Amino acid sequence: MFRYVLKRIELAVVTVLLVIVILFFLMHLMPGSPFNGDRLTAEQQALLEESYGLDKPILVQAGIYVKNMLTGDFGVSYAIQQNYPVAKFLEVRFPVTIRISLQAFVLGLVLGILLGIAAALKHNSAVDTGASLLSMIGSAIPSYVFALGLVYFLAYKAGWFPLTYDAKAPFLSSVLPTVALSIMPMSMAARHTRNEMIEVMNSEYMALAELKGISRFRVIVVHGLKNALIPLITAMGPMILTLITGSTVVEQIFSIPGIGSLFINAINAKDFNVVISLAFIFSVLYIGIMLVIDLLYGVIDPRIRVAGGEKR
Amino acid sequence: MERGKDTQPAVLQVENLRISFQTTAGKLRAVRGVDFTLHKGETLAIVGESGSGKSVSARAIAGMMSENEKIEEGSILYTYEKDGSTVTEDILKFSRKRRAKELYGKKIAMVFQDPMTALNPLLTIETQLTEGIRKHLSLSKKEAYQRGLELLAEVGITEPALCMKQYPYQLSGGMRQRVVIAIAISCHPEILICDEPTTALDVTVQAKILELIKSMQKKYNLSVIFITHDLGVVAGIADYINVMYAGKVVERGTPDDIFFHPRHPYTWGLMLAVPDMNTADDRLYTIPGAPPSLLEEPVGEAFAPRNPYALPIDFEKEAPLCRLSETHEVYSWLEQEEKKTEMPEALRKRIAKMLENAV
Amino acid sequence: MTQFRRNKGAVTGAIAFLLIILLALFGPIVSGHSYDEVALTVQNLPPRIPGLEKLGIFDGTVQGIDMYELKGVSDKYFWFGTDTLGRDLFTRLCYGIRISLLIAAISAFLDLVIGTTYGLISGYYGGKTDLIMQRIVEIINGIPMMVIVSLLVVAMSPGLLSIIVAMSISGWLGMSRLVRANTLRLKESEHVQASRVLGTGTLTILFREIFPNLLSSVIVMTMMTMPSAIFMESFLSFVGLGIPAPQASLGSLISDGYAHMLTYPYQMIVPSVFFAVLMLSMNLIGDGLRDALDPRQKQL
Repeated sequence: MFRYVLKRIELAVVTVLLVIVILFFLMHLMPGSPFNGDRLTAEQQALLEESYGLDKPILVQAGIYVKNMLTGDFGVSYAIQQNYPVAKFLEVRFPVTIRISLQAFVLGLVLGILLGIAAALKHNSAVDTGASLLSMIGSAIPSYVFALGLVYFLAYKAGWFPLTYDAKAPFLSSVLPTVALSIMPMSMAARHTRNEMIEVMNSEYMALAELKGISRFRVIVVHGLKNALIPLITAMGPMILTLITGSTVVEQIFSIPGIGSLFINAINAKDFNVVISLAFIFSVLYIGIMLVIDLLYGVIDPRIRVAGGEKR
Repeated sequence: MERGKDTQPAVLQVENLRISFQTTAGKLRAVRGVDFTLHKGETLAIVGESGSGKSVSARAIAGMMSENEKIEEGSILYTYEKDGSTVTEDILKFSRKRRAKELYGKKIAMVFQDPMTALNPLLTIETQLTEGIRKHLSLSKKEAYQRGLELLAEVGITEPALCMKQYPYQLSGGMRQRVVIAIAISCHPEILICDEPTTALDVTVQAKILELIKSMQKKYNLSVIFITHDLGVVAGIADYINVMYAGKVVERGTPDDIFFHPRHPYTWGLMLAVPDMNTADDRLYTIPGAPPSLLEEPVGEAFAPRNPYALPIDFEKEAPLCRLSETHEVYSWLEQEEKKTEMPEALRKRIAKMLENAV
Repeated sequence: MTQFRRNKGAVTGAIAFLLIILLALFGPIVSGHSYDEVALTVQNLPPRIPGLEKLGIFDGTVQGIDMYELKGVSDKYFWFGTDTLGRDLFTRLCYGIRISLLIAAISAFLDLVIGTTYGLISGYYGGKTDLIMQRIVEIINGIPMMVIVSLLVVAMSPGLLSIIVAMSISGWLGMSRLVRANTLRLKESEHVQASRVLGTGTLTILFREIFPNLLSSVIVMTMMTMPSAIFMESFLSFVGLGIPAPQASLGSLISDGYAHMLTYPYQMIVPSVFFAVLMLSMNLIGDGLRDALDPRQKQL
């Protein structure tokens, strides 16, 4: 187990470092970026040279950059808000994005699993077909289409929810975006859970468990669910990735002050510092989550723990 | 039907059981009118090749049925103690809930063929062993744990405490099967159904498991239904044998009856098909052809197309039951003939040799 | 093939997909308009379809007012209406679908070529090669695709080329993993070992023994990754990084429509609906293919 954990952590760390390096070189490539400084005032140039040591050899620059990123020194924005430290942006916006994404993820997952179990138990009935249909639609159509639909019908036409995010009513105004984002995880969770549960229910150990005469609830939950959820965990990685991507657009639509909308604004404004820093944040977030999932996998499946967790 | 003066009363009586499966290719008639009786304390062996319907019949007793399975006809009468008196009920009519409440674990237990898949890979042996105990015997976690240790020792696990903490994948096939047996007997069932419990194990382990089942049976006076395709296994443990083919019983009797005086051509074929080291014969016998697909109800006797002794009537009508002795019965038209059809020469020789060696 | 046809969902998806393709190909010819014809006189007209207008829908009116009459163009028909610059939405939609399909096709191709080859090599040679190649995959995998794509599009100017480059960097990962896993499995199979013993060359083994067995999984995977390529493009377009004007893509149409959602909802609804249907149909086909070709993975 220990070996497994170590291996995963090592991989994550290496990836993060490599990401920083890649981002660093990308910074240099981008036209109009500070490092190709054709659009900057002398003042800004001087500022940059100071923090990035532009006169020093490139490897040293890279090193400084890495150090900066790792310690949270993301430099300043110069297009969105002149000289405003990027870190300050993050302070306010990061929690918002995390909150909504987490809400959507949890909501989607819980509902999805319940739906999947129901569909599996009432296998081949109307409930099953309905659930499968819904999850098909939910996983095929990107979240922002749903967001648009929800905004149009529930916010604009029906007026039940505010059109845009309002910090004074954080809960109510986060309902629509959360729902829109949760559809995808819900669909995938429902689908996976249903399929796995059906397979699990047909397995011999389930039959044996039933034959022991223990309560049906226990059979399904203790014996069945655990086995059925393992593949779901594997699928959570890409799920989260799509969630992150989706939340970016959804933030735009609802004008939510999160890092997703900041990212898009920065891109449009060609504020490269912000762009790169956010790219870094996204990557770290993703890598971190993948790490957690891998560790979770090790916890749940004892076979992985002992075997050292080679390629699944 | 009597078995002999020492037999205890009947515990299970399966009458005219008909089971079919709805498949994409049509309706599969897996069990086509099967009768058998299980007496208390005996081991009833059901023998037949794959597809004979033996597993399906036995699983129906346990109430284990697939989604596309349907009981067309028949009853399974179970005689047991309920609130002080003896009752007989048709357990086929039990609802799933009632089965789980009254039968499973407490009265009927099952041992499966493949120990690899019978245990939940994600739960410890302790959990799997004790949950039935805790539920049925209302023991505390500690008490159940103790009982679990005892059970493991009984089934021959050398380090029970260690085993309790382990996961199935850490045990060998033989050990897993022992655990499965332990789980089966943990709540003192009356009936134990073993569905080819040794087929998936190495030969050396097979013998040990068989011995274990036998000793458990003796100790707890279990009534055992033992399903297998392996005649050698049958010889060692059966008190009574039912031979099945294509969804019906073709012959039934004591091991003596079946091994030394078999009467049905299929039984002859089965016996001959077992390679024998003792006779000088170097031919290997097989029964030519293959079992029929049961998507259609066969006309006449199902075995007729492969039966070198088939009579014309075998292709038209099903054979009647023929009582050969107090214990021995066969379903065959041959018995109606005036002249008795003798078993193949090769088989007769073999049996003679067996008797010689037995003496 | 029969099993695919039996799957009602898949068949529906296939039909829908085919219809959309036909629409994309022949739509502009039929409509009689072009996608970039700017004409401010006819801006923001609601949909008007001859024939259906007699039924009271798609008759070019907004809350009872005939907009076409208002603008003095009662003789013209814009089937899905026009946008703020007076461009016919129907034609633009068709062009947009073309772009999406093009991107899907290119991504499928890249998937196939890069992903398959990478997976085959990594799986077959094993050992050090595999280790290194897989490390690379894990690292690329660690960076969310959105980030890569966004960065690249910013670095290079937005347009079809940059999108393609971006997808060629990370889009093939899934395929390579699948191919590698299968190659590892097939490598040990008897017919491969037999070939090796006979001394057959590696390339021959790869393409004659291993690849054909992968084919069904590969096809399914390709079909499943096309939607994400289209999604990526629509995502970029929506945020303004995609295909530049005056060209249209589904994403940019939705984006433009969104800007006027409150006043001219049809501008957003129409492309959204088509987008949803396109994605859905591709997924249905993919599922159907998977059920038909890879029975082990049968799901609903």
